[in-house]
This record gives sequence, structure tokens and C-alpha cells, in this order.
Amino acid sequence: MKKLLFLFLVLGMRLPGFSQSKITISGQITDSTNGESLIGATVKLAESNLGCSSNEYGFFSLSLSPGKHALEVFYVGYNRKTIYVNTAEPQAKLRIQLSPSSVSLNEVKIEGKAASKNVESVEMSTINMPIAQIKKIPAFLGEVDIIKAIQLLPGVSTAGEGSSGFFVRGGNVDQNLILLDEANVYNAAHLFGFFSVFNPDAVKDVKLYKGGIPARYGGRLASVLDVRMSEGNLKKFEANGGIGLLSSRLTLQAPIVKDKGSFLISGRRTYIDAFLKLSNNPDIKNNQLYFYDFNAKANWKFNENNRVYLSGYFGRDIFGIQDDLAKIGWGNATATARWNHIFSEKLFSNTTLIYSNYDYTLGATEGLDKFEWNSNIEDFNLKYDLNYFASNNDVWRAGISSTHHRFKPGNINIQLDSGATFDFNLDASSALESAVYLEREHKIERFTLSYGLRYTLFQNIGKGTEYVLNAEGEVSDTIYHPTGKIYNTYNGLEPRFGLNYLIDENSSLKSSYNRMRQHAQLASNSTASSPLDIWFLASPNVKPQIADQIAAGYFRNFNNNAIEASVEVYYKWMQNSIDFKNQADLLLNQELEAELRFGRSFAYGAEFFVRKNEGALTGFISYTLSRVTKVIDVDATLPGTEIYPAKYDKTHDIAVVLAYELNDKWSFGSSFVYATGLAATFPSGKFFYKGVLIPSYTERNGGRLPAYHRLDISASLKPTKKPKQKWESEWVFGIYNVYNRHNTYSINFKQNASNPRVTEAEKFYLFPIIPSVTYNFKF
Amino acid sequence: MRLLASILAALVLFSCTEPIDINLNNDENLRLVVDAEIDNLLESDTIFLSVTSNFFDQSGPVPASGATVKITNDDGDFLFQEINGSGRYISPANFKGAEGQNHVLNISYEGKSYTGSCFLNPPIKIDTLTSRRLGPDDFFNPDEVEIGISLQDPPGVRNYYWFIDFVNGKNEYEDLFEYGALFNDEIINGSYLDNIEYGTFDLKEGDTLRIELRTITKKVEEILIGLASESFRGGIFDSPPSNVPSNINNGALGIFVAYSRETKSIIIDK
Repeated sequence: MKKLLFLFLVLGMRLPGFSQSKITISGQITDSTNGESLIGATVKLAESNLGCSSNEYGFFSLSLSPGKHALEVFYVGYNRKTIYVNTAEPQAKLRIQLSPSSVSLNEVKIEGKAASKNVESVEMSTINMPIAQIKKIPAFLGEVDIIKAIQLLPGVSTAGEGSSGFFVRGGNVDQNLILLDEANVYNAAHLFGFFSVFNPDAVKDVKLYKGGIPARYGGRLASVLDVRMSEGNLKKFEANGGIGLLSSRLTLQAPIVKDKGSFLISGRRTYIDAFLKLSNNPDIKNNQLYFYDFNAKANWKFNENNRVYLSGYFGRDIFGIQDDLAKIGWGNATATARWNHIFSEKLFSNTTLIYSNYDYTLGATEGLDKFEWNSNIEDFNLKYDLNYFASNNDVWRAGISSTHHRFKPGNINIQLDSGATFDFNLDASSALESAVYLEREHKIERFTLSYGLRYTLFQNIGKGTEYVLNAEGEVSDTIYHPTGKIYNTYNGLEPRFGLNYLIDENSSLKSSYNRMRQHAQLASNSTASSPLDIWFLASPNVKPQIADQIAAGYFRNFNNNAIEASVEVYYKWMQNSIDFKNQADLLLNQELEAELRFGRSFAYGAEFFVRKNEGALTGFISYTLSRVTKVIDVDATLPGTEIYPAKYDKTHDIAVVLAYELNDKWSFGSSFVYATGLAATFPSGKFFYKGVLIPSYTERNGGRLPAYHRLDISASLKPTKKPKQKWESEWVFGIYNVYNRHNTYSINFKQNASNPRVTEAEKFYLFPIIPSVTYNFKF
Repeated sequence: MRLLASILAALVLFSCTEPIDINLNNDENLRLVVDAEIDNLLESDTIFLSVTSNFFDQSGPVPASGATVKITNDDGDFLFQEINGSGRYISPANFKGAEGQNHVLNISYEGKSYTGSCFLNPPIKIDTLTSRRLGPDDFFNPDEVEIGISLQDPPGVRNYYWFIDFVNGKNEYEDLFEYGALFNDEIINGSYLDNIEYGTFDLKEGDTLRIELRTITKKVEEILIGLASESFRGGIFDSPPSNVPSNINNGALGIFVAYSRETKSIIIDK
């Protein structure tokens, strides 16, 4: 570590040479209609290519030579603005307000990131999706879903119809760091994964890092999905909402004191139970199945240099049988408090306190015995981050973070008719995960370099139970550790590196390397996301998973940046990969670690992406060619170690998303996806036990489901607005799976009902063609 | 289980099935399959050996004939005799499993030898069985008879239970979940189980229900669960299909169970 820090210092030394007598200006870029800060807006000198972009809080800092300058400011979907500064005059912080280029219903026109930002930036394997763009993609049952939109991007795949889990560059679903206002979301699924927890009306911006992940992020191997909530309208009261087939939503935002503080609250509730009531089957009819969620955010500007943000999420899914006879409930809760402090135009800090919780409860009140079962995960995280703009060409970031995890995998209370009760508590586990990082991005002529280093320390803290496993992976001894004792420690360095070589104005070559470490993972091996899946921590038996990734890419913009295109290749190798042994028992298993098998995995691929951001016709095409292989001994009945493709290994994965704006009234959207079928395990043989057929297998994931493809379309109609009318509305009509393909979800093998000697295969599919209609409003 | 079944029922609302043609990999299909059960009683025990066949073959079990089958415990070696080419091997007249001893199964078949071992745990007695006819107020299975069971779980040790139930002397089942029921004392270790629900049955007045309690081992429980879940697939919360673990080495599939047996009967009186 010493050596690498030294390297930083040496590189840092060169800095004074560049910055002679420059004057730094700084400020914040916001939306003129509601005061929301704009993330990733560009500020550029009119006379040259010198510029920078705003950070997560809308801040920017730019060093100029003395004199008068014209600055151009622009952002996707907003009108360009030119402002004039004179460095001879004392500089207050600039407050730049951009007005949206189209104001109806957030449905802004997708105009270019005007500048050739994707070419010039050192970031690669990173995609920004403004929420307006996500809203243009036809949505399943009319429910706009951030994660479903992410799944269309190159390098991101899904594991089956409707699933809200996603797989990035060969990483598992639990290897994505999903952040909502910096709080870790442990289960991003509503309703068994058919929807995600993010309410699109409360979200401002979504960014996905698939590679070249900056050192400020850590804890997961494959990706970072950074979701930022809207801050609330600083100017005036605003309400918007929608009524759909499945859910209704309402968002209110208003200033607390104009331009000083504001708040936003947003909620939605589904009413699937109404459909269940239509069923003739009494087993289904009296069931409840719904979810709701709330987002809230408030911010207050104490003065120019201090601003505080509070935000939170609370969501719950309820599945009840026969009016509370038996019930499952699960959901996340997160809370973030952030103090944004500006020391000077070059240096500012964020102090953040984060709470995250996921829990489920399951209970039954019928029969001879009643039971209640609950499980939860609780995280407290404190972090401090510093940003330092040394010059336009040199930005530093540093930070420190510590998270306390407490995982309670399951507590069960059983009450017998006789009055006797039994308590069964799976061992809770606690750990402290701490990190410190330093990163720097700087430009040297045609090169932009970004490099960073993260040091992670993970400590298992008692009270905890340690299982000693023998060679067969069976528990041979148990060690109990007292409260407060640190009984196991892992630590390590995670270097990150990125390089951009600007070939000319319109094209660049980029490369990156990153190492990631992961200390918490999900115990799940089923097809659908079950709310009962638990997370487990690294321990003396479970070593931290480590991934190394190298990537290279060619970026090119056409037509004056109206069309951006990129090609990237990557190779990723992972150590201490986890899979579950055959017939693993993951539910309520005290000795869960005995069900795990460890090995290695590899992923590589090529990704092609073309996006058109301007004009009446917008959209993107993404194509991924990839492979994911695991090398883990999972089957004790077969000799040797198995080498098998991951379930989500898809050779080809294509998405074509188009949006067309016919006129002010009508616009249309379509999305087409095609992907190689998922890998699946098919039987090769069979035998009989007590006369019942049991399949036997020679390989894991050796077979393939049929290819998946689907076309969705949508049309939206905005009734003409009378002048002075405040109420704006929009109808969105959609058709999911237009040509009604019965895409295979899984294949089951079974005995023929009439002749048990005959075995047959049967496919299971979920959604046929489904129309939807949604009504959105705003006033 | 019921709760999960109801979740599945709700999801099936949105789902459908249809037949599909699939080509399977038919390599390697002559693996030995063992179904060996021995108990602590003197009655004769049968070990059935078969081999796997191709998945889509229209065949029943393919017997593995001509094997040498031997069980060894502290009392000595016992050679099992095949009944004329049927793949069924019968214990010698003097053989019974010994409580508290390890039993080793040796099979030699077509030039390969296979070994498995299983500990025979002492018996656990069923104290009482009770019956109660359910009425229209009961949501699950109204009109059926709910059977309660009472027994003392031996304290201090882990106990694994395999219950088999017989209605009027017959155990009728369509899948392995109906064949028997598994239970263990991980939650209730050492407790007296006072009239806990065993299950509900479609019974008439005068029917006899007999429950057999077999005390098994953790490994056997794991294999039985594996066999049952592999025989009954289709839920989207299932773990991926895979070979059921086995307690016989050298690539053989199946199970070797040594258990103690206790039974209790009840006549349904209303």
C-alpha cells in the first residue's frame, strides 16, 4: 500500500507545473422550473474545448485564465445557455439554471449529451439513463421500471421473463451494488421479481457502472447501479401521478421556503388482489397480493456553503392467504442523511449517514400449530467524502467509510395447540466493513487518466458461530465466539485504473482495469427471486469473492454527436466464486455454509452500442456477445470438478429500442429483444425409486432453453392543452409481447399422466400478449 | 409447504404449459441404482438394484442382476441372495440390523465395486395418535380427518424421523411426498411433542390408520428430501435440477437406509 500511495504523490507533484495563475470559478447547475440539481451537465468554454461536467450534486468547478470568458452550459433535454464571466470581478458562486426544452410530463426530448462527452470522458462501461428516456420504453403492464430498462443495455442480461434481477458481464444477481441515494438496497424486487422497488416518479437519474468502477464504490463484484432520487421542487408546488392497470401513484413536491429548501413525497400501491377476486378458485379468491412503497426527500440550504439532504424509502409486499390465515410480508427501508459542505470553490465534502434494512415475516394462524418466522438485515453506514478540483484537468477524490452489518437469517416461534412454544433462532452474524479510498482523474494532452485505490477491511464480530468443515464440506465442529470479539478478518487492496486516448474530436480509445471484493452474498439458487432468500456474510469458511476485470473500447460519435457509438471488449476472472451443491438446502439451515461449494469463474465478451439522441426518432441498439463459465465442484456423485456455463450465460443478446415523436399529440415507442436461451440442466437418464421416476444428470447447465424474443409497442396521446390550463394529461397504451410468443420460462420433465412409462417434456411460459393502458397527470 | 403451494397457485394464474420437443444428451446411461433398506427386526429385508436408462425410453426399472450384495456389522458379514434374476436381493434368515451400530453395504456388479454405510439409530416410540374430523370452518381440507401425534423426542441427540402411514394396511402414494413424511428435532430438540398435527387424511368411520416411525440419520434425510424434490418439479422457486446425493460411492445413485421401526395404529371412530 505504501508503494502505491507514493505513486500518487509522485504523480501529484506534477500538478503545480500546469496551474500557473489560473482563477477557479465554481457553482451549481439546476433546473429552472423546479430547482433540481442536474447531474452530469456540461460547462464548457465557448472559445475552446476546455470544460467539465457537474457532479452528483450538480456542482462544478473550472479554472480559467484571467479575463472575460463565455461559458456554454448544456444538458440532455434542456436548452443550451451561455453565460459570461469576468475573472477580474470578485466571483460569487455561479448559479446556473437551465430550462427544459419541452416541459410536458417529464417527457423531455432526448437530445444529445450535446458535447462528445462519451468520447472525451475517461469513463467506460458506464451508461447514464435519464429517467425521461426510461419512460419512453414500452413498459410491462404500463409500469415503468428502471431495472427492466437497464436490462436492455449491452452487457446486462436477465434470467427469465419478467425478472427484475439483472446480470452484468457474467456477474451474478447478488454482485450488483444497488444504491438508492447511496443506501444499499438488498432486495430490489417487488412481487417475486416482476417489478422493481424504484418508483420512476421519485427518481431523477440512473447510472450503471459495468467496468472501470471508480474507487469510491466497493462491496460488489460486477456493477454499481446508482439511483438518485429527485430532490423536490424548489420553486413551486407540483403534483403528478398516474393510474394504471396494476398500480396508481402520486408524487407531490413543493418548496419549504422558495429556493431555500424543498421536499418530495411519492407513493404507489398496486391492486393485484382485485384480479385475484375474479378467480373462481376459492383458494385464490380470498388471497391478498399487493405492494406499496413510499419515497420521501427533503433538502435545506443553510447558506451558500452548507446544504442538508434527508431521504428515505419504505416499501412492503404483502401476500396473504384467506384474510390473514397465513401471511408473508417483506420489504426494504432505507434512510440517508447527507451534509454537503463547501470549503472553497475547489474543495467540498459530503458527510453521509445511511441506514438500510430488509426484512420478511411469515406466519400462520391455522391448524394445530401456529408459527411466526422472521428474518432481517440491518446496515448502518457512516462515510465522509472529499472532492478536490485541483484544476480543470485534475480532480481528486478521497473518502472513508464504515458499515456495520447485522444479518439475522431466521427466528421462528412455534405455538402448539397444547400451549407449548418453541423458539428456533438461526445464528445472527455481525460484521464491520470499512474502506478508505483515493482517486484522481487528470488530463495530459490527449490522454485522460483515472486511477484510484481502495483498501477494504472486513471483520466478523461476535456474537457469532463458526463452523469447522471437513473435506466433504460437512460440519465437524462448532466454535462459539462471545459478543464483541473480532474472530475473523479479511483485508485487501482494490486498484482501479482507466485511460482515455482522444484520437480526434469524434473518437477515442479507452481501457480500464478494476479489482473488486465482495463480502456479502445471497443464498439463492431458484429461478424466481424468492423474498425468503437470505444474505450471508464472509466468514472463516467463506472467503471474500474477488473479481478482476480488464476492458478496452473504441468510442465514436457521428453526425455532430447526434449519434454515439461504442464497441467494448472485456475479460473478467473471479476467485472464491460460490455455487450451491446439488439439492442444496438454503432455507432455515443453521449449517448453510456446508451447502456451499467454492471455485472460480470466467467471463468475457464484446458489446456494441449505438444511440441516437436527437430528432423525432430516437433510440438505441445494443448487442452483446458473451460467455460465462464456472469451475466449481457441485456434484458429489460425478467424479472431478465440473466446468459449466452459468445459467445466465447468453451467447447473443440484442435489444432495439425506438421512440418516435409524430407531433405534439402522438408519440410511439417500441422495443424488441432477442437472446440465446438460458442454460438449463436437462436429464440424460432416469431411474425409479419406490416406483417413482427420478431423473439423472451427466452435466450442469448442459442444455439450452429455446431462444427468447419479444416485441413490445406503446403509443401515447397528449390531449391538446388549452392555454392557461394547469392540468396536463397523457394516455399511454401498450402491448406487451405483440406477436404472442410463448417464451419458455422453464422446461419440466415428467411422467405421462395416463401412461407412467412414458416420459415427456413440457415447457412453462409466463406472459402471452398483454395490453395495458395508463393515465398520467400533472398539475 | 401449504403456504408455498398457495403462492405457486397464485402465480399459476399468469402462467401456462405446453409440450415441447427436446433432444437430450444420452451419454452414460448404465449407472447402478441402489434401493437398500434394512431394519432392526428379524423380518426379511430386500435390496433392489437397477441401472439407469435413457430418459425418454418407455421402460420401467431395469433390474441389475448377478451382483454380489453383502452387509457387514459388528456381528459379521451377511450375504444377500438374488431372487431369480429380478435384481431383488433378500437377507439371510438370521439377519437383523443392530441398534447403535454402523452397517456397511458392499456391492460388486459388472466388475465394479460399490460401498455405502449407514448408522442404525435406536427406536423412538409413538405414545398416542388422535383423530378429529374437520368441519366447514376449517379452510384446508374440510371433511377430512386430522391426525395428531404425541411422542417424546430423546434429548441431547439429533433425531431424524421418517414416518410412513398406512390406511387399512396400504400406503398409497402418487409421489414421494405422499410416500412418507420427514421430520427432525432441530427446532424442538428434547421436547415432548404433545398432539402435534401429523396430517389430514380422507378417512371413513372404521378405517384404520397405522403410522410407522423410522429413526434415520441426517444423511438419509438429505437423500430422501433430494429424491422427493427431484421426483416432483415445476415450481419456479425450485432449486435447479441435479443428481440426488447418494450415500453409496463410485458413482452409484440411490440410497442405503438402516433404521429402527416402531408403529402405532388408530381406528377412526367418527
